[in-house]
Amino acid sequence: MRRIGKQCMRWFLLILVFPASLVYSHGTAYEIIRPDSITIRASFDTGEPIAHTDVLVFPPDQTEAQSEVTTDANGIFAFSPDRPGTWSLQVRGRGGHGMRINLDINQELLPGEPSGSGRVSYLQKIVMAACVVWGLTGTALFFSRKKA
Amino acid sequence: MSFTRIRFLCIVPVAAFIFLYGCSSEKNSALVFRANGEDFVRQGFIDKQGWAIAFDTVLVHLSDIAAYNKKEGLRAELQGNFAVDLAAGDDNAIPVKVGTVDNVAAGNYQSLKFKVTKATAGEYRGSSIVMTGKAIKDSLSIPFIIKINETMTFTCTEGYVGDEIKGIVKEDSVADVEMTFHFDHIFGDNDAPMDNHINSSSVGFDFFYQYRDGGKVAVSQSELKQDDEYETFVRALWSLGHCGEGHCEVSEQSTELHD
Repeated sequence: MRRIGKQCMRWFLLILVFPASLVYSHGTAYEIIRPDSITIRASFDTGEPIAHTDVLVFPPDQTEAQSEVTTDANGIFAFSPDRPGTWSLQVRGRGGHGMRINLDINQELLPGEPSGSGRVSYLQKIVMAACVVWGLTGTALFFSRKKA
Repeated sequence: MSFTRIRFLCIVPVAAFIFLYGCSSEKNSALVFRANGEDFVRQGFIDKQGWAIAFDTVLVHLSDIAAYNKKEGLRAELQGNFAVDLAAGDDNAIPVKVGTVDNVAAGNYQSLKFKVTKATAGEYRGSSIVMTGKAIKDSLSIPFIIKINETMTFTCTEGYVGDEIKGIVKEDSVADVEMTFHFDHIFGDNDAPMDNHINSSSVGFDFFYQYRDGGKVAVSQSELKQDDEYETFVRALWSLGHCGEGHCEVSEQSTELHD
């Protein structure tokens, strides 16, 4: 009896899902995702785009480039900062000259990361440390108690 | 345990903490200021008119040199006047050390300001830039000495442009900043297209060659004032100052030009 019930339930679920998958199999869909990069357009003073040019990306307080990207025909390039601070972007122009963009990235501008996720504040660290000490003290007192 | 002993046990770690904290807050970092004429000056080059230029000396007189970061409240000033030979050393010499500022706070000294001023003493008194060397083209070999008395201030706010970031000082370490001078802005560059700004905005050695006397060129800026290309020449001087490959703003120029 129980086995028959299980079989009925399987068929019921299959009937429920199959038409829905038919409906959506040839449709189009879109999904809004959080942007994973910051996009910049580089141009000369004249407004002419700095096209097909190398851009060196320097993280905050780093002397060496983390990555190198290239501008497209419209002078557009993108990069993905992974921490807040001043990011330096060096765009090489014609004749060996170049420009440097110093971009301040704060927590809100960090792409692809909900604010505060995965980060522990200073206050949180203190509270966590206090809890550990408290726990160890309690454990030590428990085992060192004199038995009545 | 006696009260004295407890007090001793408390005092020792506190004193140690204060001592270590005091040591760590001491500024042992330094910022080195360098000047660079790049390979054009050290190795020579072919100018836009086909002259092979080889420099013996390129003296630049500098003063009021400072690296700073307004946002972070940082400033390091190199006190004094300096006569720097950008052609010093061999073909692959590192940029010339102008001076060091010790005990600077850690941080990003991205911005740079410096003045090109006249020498107040010595052989080239009254000149701000002096170039000596030889220009060769076909069968001609012309020694030259070109004295410039233009004074100007260069401000490079955004910072060094190159393969690395300069001016980031970390605790107990030494970093450098660089004042870069692009002399191809005066002579042009045979390797660049003739319609490139480096050639369309420069005068080339021909500009000086026309003032030759007795098989050599010995000319000063004041003698060039009547030349049709004088304005182009002065504007080229105003574009000499760089921070790596990044342009610097020029101000306080001694020559007045009408736009």
